Amino acid sequence: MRYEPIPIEKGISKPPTYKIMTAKEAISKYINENCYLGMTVSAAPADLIWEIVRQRDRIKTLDLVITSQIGMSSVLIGSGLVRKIEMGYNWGGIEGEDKVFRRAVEKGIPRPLIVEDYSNYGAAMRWLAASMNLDSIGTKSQLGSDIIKYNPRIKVIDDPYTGRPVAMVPASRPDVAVIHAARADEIGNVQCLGLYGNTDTLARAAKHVIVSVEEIITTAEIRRMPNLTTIPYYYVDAVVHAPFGAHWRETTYYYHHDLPYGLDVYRQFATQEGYEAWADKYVHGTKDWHEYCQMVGFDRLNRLQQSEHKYQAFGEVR
Amino acid sequence: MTREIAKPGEYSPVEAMVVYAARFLAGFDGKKGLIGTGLPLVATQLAKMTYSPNMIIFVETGQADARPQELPISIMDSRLTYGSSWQMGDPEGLFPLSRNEIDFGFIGGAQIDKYGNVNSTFIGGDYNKPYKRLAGTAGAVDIGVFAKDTVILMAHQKRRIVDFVDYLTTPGWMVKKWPEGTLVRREELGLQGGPSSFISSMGICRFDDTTKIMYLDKYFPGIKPEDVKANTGFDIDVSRATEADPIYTDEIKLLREEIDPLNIYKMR
Repeated sequence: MRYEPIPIEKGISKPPTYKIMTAKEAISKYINENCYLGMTVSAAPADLIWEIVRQRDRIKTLDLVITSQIGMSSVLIGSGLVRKIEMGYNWGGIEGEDKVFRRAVEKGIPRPLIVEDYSNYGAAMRWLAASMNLDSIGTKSQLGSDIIKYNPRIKVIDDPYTGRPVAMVPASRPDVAVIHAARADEIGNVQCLGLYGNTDTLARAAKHVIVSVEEIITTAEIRRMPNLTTIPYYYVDAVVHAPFGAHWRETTYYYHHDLPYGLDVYRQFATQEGYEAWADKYVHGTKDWHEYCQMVGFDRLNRLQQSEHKYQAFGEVR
Repeated sequence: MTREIAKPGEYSPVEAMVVYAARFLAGFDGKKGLIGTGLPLVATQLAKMTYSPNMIIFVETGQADARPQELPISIMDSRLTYGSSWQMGDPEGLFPLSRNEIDFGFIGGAQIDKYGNVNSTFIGGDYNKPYKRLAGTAGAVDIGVFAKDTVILMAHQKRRIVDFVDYLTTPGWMVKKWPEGTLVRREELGLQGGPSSFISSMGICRFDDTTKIMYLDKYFPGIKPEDVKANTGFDIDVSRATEADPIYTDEIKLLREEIDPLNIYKMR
């Protein structure tokens, strides 16, 4: 495992070529064994996660770095891929206890899991540091808490100018970032609507970026509203078109969180057999995201979309 | 027109906790607060509809000043983006917090101790082999360190209110100084703010001015101070407690019919 800061290599800028491909092609090309994978707190890239789980026999091991996650990291943990997780928060939220995560940490089922705790702020600062090409960054958060005792990578130093204590967190440079966003053009300019979380800092911190989007738009449309652009094209390696690509979670302005589905999934996740049964049907039993949407049911997905559009839809003035 | 009073037994302890928390937030009308995920969202929704409509809600994911029309199920929920004045990213969304601009933080947790330290990381065993691993630190640490005031919401159970927490996730009044790990007052590390109140399903507790140890300030109608003492994992001082004002039926009706009609938060 790599802990040394990785110098920015030449050629990390990606050219403005046609980057639209299927999830299968993107994952096959960029995610390999021992990949250090990053995911943001905003829309969950479910279509990319499902594809990673489908290719788990080839990928074998991942180290995950997140700030907060509900659900998607558990799908990866239950598949036996994750060796270590660097996290701020990983739970089921309102949907209940994350028994997949608990089993992995407490009992090592399906695979022992090493946990490195940070606060949400500390975890987010790690990508901010990497996006500025710093090896570490200071924050006053986490002082006074047990996080510093159990995480030796957080070092408390005296500020060189005032002498006051400050906690330094190391920069995090994932090998690959998997991100879900609202829209992108074919060369990889990505725009987020609403909640965008760590999208911009993670895209700069990671060596490769795979983005799945709800809509593919023209570059002319991107140029009309450059404020919305969270990732410039030269960070992006692959663009995957995946409508409803964050199911069962939400994408702001597109569709709501599917709460009944999430509650049902967490009930099944209460045992490892339940997880395997769900994954065999919905992940291994579908060959791509479109088949998964058909299995969930487009009627259901459209109702989630109507539920969101009742209050907010992009472009409408209310 | 007088408001009708609801009798204890007509509402559940968790509903009482949420209503008293919303009333407590009346003191923060017009102020900025960072809301954690879970029951604090319900109390905030109730407060914004009744007692403090001008309260400015911040969340860790970056939405600010939202006016949710439907109860959000988490802080990442798109329902919490509706009506927000500005959308920040991450960690940008927490910069106001680190600049001490946030007037109060509102969090839940799994364990709380007599100094107001909150635990949401693990219970029992030790860190590498816990008996029960929990959600993790989330933004509660950041709230505990930076907010000018912290309000904690948790059900009142003996195993959850302890003498000292298994893992100190959110700093309360007595925190750990590193690298030695000695217990010091939070002011010594330069941390401002601190928890002012703990609202449970039985009463409202505050922290003594000098010793900073939790004591019972108000108990809810239908609860006796002895019940609170019996359900607390350390010897809590109940001598200064008085009874809280009763709950009104219109508050319960608002909770049950408008805010959470489907009982998503399992309050009843």
